[in-house]
Amino acid sequence: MKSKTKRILMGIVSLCLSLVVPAWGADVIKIGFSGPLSGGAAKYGKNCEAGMIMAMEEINAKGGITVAGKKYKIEVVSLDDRYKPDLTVQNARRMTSLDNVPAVFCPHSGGILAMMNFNEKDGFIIMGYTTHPKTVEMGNKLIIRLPPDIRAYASAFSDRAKERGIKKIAAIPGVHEYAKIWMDIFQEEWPKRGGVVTDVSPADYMKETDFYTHLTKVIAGKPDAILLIGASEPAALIVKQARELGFQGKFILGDQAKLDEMLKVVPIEKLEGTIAVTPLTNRPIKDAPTFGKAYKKRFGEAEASTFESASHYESVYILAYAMEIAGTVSDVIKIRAAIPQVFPLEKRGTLAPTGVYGLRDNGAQLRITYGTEVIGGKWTEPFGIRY
Amino acid sequence: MNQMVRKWLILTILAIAVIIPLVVTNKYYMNILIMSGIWSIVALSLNLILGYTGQVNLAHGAFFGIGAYASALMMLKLNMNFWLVLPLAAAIAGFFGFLIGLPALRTRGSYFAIGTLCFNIIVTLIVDRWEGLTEGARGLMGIPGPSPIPLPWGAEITFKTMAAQYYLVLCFLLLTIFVLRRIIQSLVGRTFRAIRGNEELAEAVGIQPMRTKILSFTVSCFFAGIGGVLYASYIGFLSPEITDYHVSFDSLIYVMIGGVGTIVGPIIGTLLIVTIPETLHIAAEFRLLLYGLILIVMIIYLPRGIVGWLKSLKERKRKQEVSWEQS
Amino acid sequence: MVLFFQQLVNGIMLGAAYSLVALGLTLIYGILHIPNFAHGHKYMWAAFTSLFLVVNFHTNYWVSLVIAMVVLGFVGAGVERLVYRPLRNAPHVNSFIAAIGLLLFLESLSLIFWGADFRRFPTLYDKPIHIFGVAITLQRLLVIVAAALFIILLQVFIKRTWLGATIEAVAQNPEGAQLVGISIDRVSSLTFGIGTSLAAAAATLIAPIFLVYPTMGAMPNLKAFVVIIIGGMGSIPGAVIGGLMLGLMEALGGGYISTDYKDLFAFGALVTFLTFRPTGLFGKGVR
Repeated sequence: MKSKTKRILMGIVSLCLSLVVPAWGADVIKIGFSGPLSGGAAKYGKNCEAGMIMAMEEINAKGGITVAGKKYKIEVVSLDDRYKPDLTVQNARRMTSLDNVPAVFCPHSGGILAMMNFNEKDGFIIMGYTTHPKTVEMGNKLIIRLPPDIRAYASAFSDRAKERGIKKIAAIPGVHEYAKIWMDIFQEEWPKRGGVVTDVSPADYMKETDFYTHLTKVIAGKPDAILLIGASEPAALIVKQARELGFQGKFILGDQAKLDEMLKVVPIEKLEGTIAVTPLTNRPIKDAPTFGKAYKKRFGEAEASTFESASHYESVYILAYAMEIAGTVSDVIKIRAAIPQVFPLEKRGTLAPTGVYGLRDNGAQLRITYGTEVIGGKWTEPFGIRY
Repeated sequence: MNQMVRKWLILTILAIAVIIPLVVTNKYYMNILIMSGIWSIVALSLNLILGYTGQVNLAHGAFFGIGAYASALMMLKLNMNFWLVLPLAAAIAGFFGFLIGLPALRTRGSYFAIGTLCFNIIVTLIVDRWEGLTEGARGLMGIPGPSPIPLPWGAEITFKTMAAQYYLVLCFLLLTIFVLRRIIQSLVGRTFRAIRGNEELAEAVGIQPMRTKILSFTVSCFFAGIGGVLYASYIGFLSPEITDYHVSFDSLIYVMIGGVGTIVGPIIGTLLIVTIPETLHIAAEFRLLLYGLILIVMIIYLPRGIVGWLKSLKERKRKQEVSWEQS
Repeated sequence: MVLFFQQLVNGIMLGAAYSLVALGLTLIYGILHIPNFAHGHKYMWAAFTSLFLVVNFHTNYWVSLVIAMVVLGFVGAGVERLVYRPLRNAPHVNSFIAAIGLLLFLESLSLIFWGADFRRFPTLYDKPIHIFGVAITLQRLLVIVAAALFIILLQVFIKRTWLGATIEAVAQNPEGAQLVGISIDRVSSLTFGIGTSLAAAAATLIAPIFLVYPTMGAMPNLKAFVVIIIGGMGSIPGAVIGGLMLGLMEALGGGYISTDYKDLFAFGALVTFLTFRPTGLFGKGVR
């Protein structure tokens, strides 16, 4: 028995230690991604991953990148962290130890903030897709934040709402952290335009499906418009249910909700008067439709390209060019310093479908983004939001 | 198992555990070991109420989370020292265990299970929505690691390296094992097992089930709290999911697969489940699929977990030997 | 006042939905004493099955409802045979674990088959009707009516048919039932089958109101448990009253007090019941 237990224990230990030997595939640079690939947020995670894969395939098809005279192919190492920060940490450690990735992409603030505890020490860049303000306020020198600033949207939409004569807005924000930040910022911006927030009724966009209770409460205050902050499909459901309840006002959509995805669930007539972020393919960024088409070609007609996939696509290119400019695939400080010199992407023949044009010192990416309204059953011309 | 052999086995394993950080410098493996250590503490504590007292507690994640959040808040908002915070936060977790145990333990079996599950959900909801206290979904970040311990000759022990953090977790794991083992082997522990066996009968022989169950539950939650504190200062970031019932489910699985009602079982279960998915480098959904399947198969055919199965093998061998001798 | 009536109607509809899901659960628990944690995921599979039929084969909505009920009925019986029956004499915690494993399995299978997308269930009944200033869609009315129908049907089945009697017999006294020649195995499979088809019916009825996606079963599952504890495990009227109570509590509490803590009402109610009246409103005895 003793030898049997011992043998089993030895077996377990060696199994643990015999994990994947660092794949020193000659001349391959690996870039890491840790995000939700299963569970409720799987679609979001896969969206981000898809953008990275598209960029990777394009780069490799052109022969890869040349760093300090040597040619490298890019490989995206993608691990599921089920939205849990401690798994993100585990994945990040795995990718930096075993795959020597210079950068790890992560699309949720929990994982990003957890990695920020040790990314400078262990020497890897965090490419974070999150709107959490703390990520660029902590003085971390190796973080890049991908999405645009919420305040840009909140103020632009407030301006537009004022122009349309809206005075009272009720809100149904999600309960996730992005929604709370959005709501806080909107609560600051809207009163500056002389408007009033009549009701705030938070709802769990991920878990709830019946929003009648929220809507009934909120509609009772007779708002001119309802602000929705959350993912596209649940937002579409809320719109549908609001119309069923007889609400005839307008909607304002936080940028997480994408009009084109919502149209899969609710017809455009129900969205009359909505102010939202422009669907990617409609932006007057000449690259956006091109990217959209290429995305559909790669992933199927049913798939719509999103800001997430477009942004991840760009950022893989940004990283790749930064490595070329810096002349190193492992010195992350040099790579980070080289990033501002990568722009404009168009000069390098690369699509920039979200219109990213620069990088702030604190790591936040700069871009012009666009808002849209739905008037007369159609999307209007986009209006630019610069910050 | 022969006492001598057992002692040597334990010493060997201990020696390996102590030497590991000197041999393994890869941060990824160290991370796995540290996390396994933390989850083992949680699993072991669950085992006390589940394995030895026979009550199916599905709220363990809540107490782990309470310990984690309590320690983080005390360190961040009150600037308290880690070493002071650790026992306090664990005590808070234990205290909540006591409070919840009072009404919950009056129910039995499935009612207790579902009741604890719902309590877990309530805790997660409160942690999520009470932003003034917990920052809600935004999470708490920048949780400091343990503060250095000054040594008499002017040097100090710091906890900045992974090796140091590993040893910290190892110490607490050993402490947990030691304390739990003492409890289990004491008279109190025997009353736990009496209740697991047959609560009415236990009452008939003079054991007070409510008192005993509450004691077991409180101690169990205390140690879950310790796990929480270690997690908070290692990962440095907390968000409400850490109190989620999925954590309770996970701990339950570690205990059941490893072997409920044994000391070694939860540790082995944790090690296996934390490390094996890392080796099974297949698509995420397929992994969960397999995981579910393995769970079902295991629970039907190896209900006492791996350790339980090994023990039954030993029993069978001994019976074989006995019958040989007799023939 | 309109607010109140609207919330009342919301509450009744929610309650009807919860009751329907809980019905299957309480049946299974009452007979087999297994809290079937994977119930919500079978509900999810039923929704996908009928969605698949309606979208790909253009089956009539009601036909697909029946087919989903039958298919899931068999799945339920199969699950009983393969997973729960071997665990019948094992400690309860083992059935929990098996249910958790089943839950993971069903969810990942769904993710693999259908992907993580949120899908819309096409329906003919989403025009709202206005009664006394209160708006309600036909589909929601259907849920209420159908729930009532199924409840009556179930009661009739249990009390008036021979098969139903065997189920009651096993619920009340398994050994006695065996003595008179009733096969516990058969009854278990039957019960599981019926319980699961009820969930399938609930899913198909409710799916057009909401969206269909792999994790859609998690919350209804939990709420169903709250319902059967409030109502009493194993009691059909309990599931109905419990469901209605829960629905109303959520709608009115959410409408008047706070939507932030809406879910808290449900789970708070459960804890209260567990503390003061664990057998629920109509429960039969201890455990």
